Amino acid sequence: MRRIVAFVGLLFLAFVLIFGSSNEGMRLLSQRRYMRQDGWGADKFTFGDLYGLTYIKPFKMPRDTSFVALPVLETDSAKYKMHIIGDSYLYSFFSMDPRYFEKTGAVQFVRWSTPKAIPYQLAMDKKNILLIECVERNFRQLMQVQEIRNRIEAQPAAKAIEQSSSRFAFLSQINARVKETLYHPTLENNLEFLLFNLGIWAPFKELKSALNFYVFGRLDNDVRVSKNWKQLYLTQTVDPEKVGSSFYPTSDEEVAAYVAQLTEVEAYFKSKGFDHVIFSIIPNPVGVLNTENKPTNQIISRMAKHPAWKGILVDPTLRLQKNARDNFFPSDSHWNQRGAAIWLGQLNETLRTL
Amino acid sequence: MVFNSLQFLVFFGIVTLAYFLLAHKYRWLLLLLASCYFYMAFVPIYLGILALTIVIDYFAGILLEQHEGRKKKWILALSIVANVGVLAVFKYYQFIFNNISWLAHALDIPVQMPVLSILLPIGLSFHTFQAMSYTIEVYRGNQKAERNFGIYSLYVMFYPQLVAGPIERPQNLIHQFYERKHWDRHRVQSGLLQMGIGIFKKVVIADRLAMVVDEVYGNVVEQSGTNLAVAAVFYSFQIYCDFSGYSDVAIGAARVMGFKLMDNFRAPYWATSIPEFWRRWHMSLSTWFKDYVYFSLGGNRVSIPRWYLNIMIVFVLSGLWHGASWNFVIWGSLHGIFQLIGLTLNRLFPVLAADRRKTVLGQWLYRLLTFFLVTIAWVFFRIAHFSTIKLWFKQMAQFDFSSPLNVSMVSKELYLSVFLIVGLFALEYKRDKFKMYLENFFWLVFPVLLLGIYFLGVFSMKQFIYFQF
Repeated sequence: MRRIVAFVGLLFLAFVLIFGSSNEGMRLLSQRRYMRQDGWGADKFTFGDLYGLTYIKPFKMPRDTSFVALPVLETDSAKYKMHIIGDSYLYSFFSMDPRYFEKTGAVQFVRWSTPKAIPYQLAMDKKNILLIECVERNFRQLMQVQEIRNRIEAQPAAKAIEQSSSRFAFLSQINARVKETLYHPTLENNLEFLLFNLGIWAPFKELKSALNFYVFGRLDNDVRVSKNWKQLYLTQTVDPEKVGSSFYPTSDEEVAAYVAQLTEVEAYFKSKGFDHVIFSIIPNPVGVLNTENKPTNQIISRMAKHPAWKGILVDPTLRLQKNARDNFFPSDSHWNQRGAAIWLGQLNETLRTL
Repeated sequence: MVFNSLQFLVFFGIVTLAYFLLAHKYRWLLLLLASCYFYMAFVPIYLGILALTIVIDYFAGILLEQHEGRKKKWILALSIVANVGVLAVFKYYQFIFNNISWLAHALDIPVQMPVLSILLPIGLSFHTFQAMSYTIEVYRGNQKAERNFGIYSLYVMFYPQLVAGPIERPQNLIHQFYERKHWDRHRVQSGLLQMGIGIFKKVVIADRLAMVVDEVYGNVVEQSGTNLAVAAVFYSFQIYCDFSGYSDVAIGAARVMGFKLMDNFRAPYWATSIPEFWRRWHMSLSTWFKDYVYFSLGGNRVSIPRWYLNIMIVFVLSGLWHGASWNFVIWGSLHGIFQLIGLTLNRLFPVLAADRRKTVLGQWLYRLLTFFLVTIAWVFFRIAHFSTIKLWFKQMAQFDFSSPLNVSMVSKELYLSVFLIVGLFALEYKRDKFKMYLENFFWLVFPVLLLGIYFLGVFSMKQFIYFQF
């Protein structure tokens, strides 16, 4: 009997290790687990990604079942092909479907987080539009020519890049290969998902969180509670010392430099055959919700109004600020479908004017 | 792979269950493969360095057994040079290089040495010392040369103690790999309990104290004397809980499978003198130095100046063993100097030494003095830069008793930290008796311990301090 129990335990742990080391296995499991609504389902990001980092119970939001019916547009008169590079603010169901974009017959969507480049293919029979979308906290690093090229242009063969002058380069290559084969880079996170990202553990996590937060005054380093205690924010968006923050002091010279950065991107991709390059910077939630009682750096609007800026920059800040709390989740770093719909409406207005 | 990770939890479960399911004759192979996997989780290629010294020491052991006299000495010397050589290249090269460059620059002599920018293989000092103890014991005739290459490799690579000790002796460990281990519920429970206590010390106490220590030592210039004093005391307990916690997990994990590793700590802050502290702190290292260096130099059976010199040599080497940096050398030297002062005072005022054995108050005074000296020495261990150490003492010289503690940790958590320190200190007084009680109530104690780890633990995945050595 003891041997049988030991064997079952061994099988279980081996299963956990094998799945935790496999991208395919993790994808399969996470899809299934996030679909489950019972205690065996994954709950980390179901009730808000920032709740998933903190497990502060008052911020546990109901499952997002709100569905905003987006207008489905005519594609018969489609004259654009949209090439989109964007982040998790763009819901998959519309960012890959041309019917949601004005006068658009085809869409190619690439995430900033793509592990390898997905080269664009310009349409010959349509106008090609490059839409570059990014949240405010990341645009400085991402909206650069090389960053974008790395994601949507064919990359040189890996071997050429790996050529190194070091005599010991082959050793580090062997090292990297062995490490990659034996130890999955996100194994620790995967194991946490497999063993502890279960609804049944939530009460324990909430209790530990409550102890840390209410007794010891500690919260996950990446998360802050708003001044009115109604909203969770990513620390990097509210800490004035962090460059991605809405409160990071930004001089006019810096704004001019960012405008020049975007202008360079526009010029480069127009030279590559794109007819239009549209930028859209999504404001950090804290920049819209106005909970901190202090002025933000207004960086997006300052860029849009800068005299040197001649391109197209979709800035949804003002529209999102109307009934702002309806457009964001209280414990998620993203907007909700209403927020996305407002942005999409504004983008389509821009597309109509081209 | 750190002990306070889920990877280790799964790894430990798999290896232990497979160990008991496998036939006895294959178990050493399982443990060896598991140990390789465990070590390669850090930098896989460094397994090659371990393999190199393993091959050298394996053959050195056999040759030592086959030869006598001068030849035997040469074989031992070669083996030690090979081991120390590996340590010198990977751990001390940059240190030596920096010092020669500095000296040459000061004397205006042009010197060019190749820069070797390599990462120190994790636990290399532990591994090397364990390997050297094998050849020395074979040389002394206390241990037979191991003929099974796999078993010898396992002796130096046994995963629970591979990266941070305890530094084992071959007489204690090698024969255990041949013994048939059976599932013994009480032994398994005892091992699991010790692992739990080790993890508790690490994630509940050490990593909690580290929050204050890192904040204060990260910015010494802006700290008050109170902050520095509290951080210094906290660091004394942080490093103790961090390292003894690691040892507990190592010893416990081995015990679950039926292996008995040597004790590494025995309530060190209960010591009433510096020599006693070293009989209780990192015992596997201090006995190593005692057995292989101090006694080889003649110990105390020499003239008094030579005896003092022997003590200083051992402590300077011990400091160097910890790290290739002057602050570690000073830390070791300080302990040596404390010992010498103690010895001299005992010789000059024997009454003082006698007092210590008589009264409770006297014992407590000596205990506090010892803790104070050890804590001062830890400042040199914790701070690498001399300018910062100087600043630390400068700020402390302006110590103001009225200035309050000002750190970002809230008072409730500070009280909890102090409670944990006092609790740990008190429980260690009757350590063995307390452990026996815990083992008797395993099914009550273990779940409570796990809940304590979960609810009070600071899960920052902070590495163990001694991993860097």
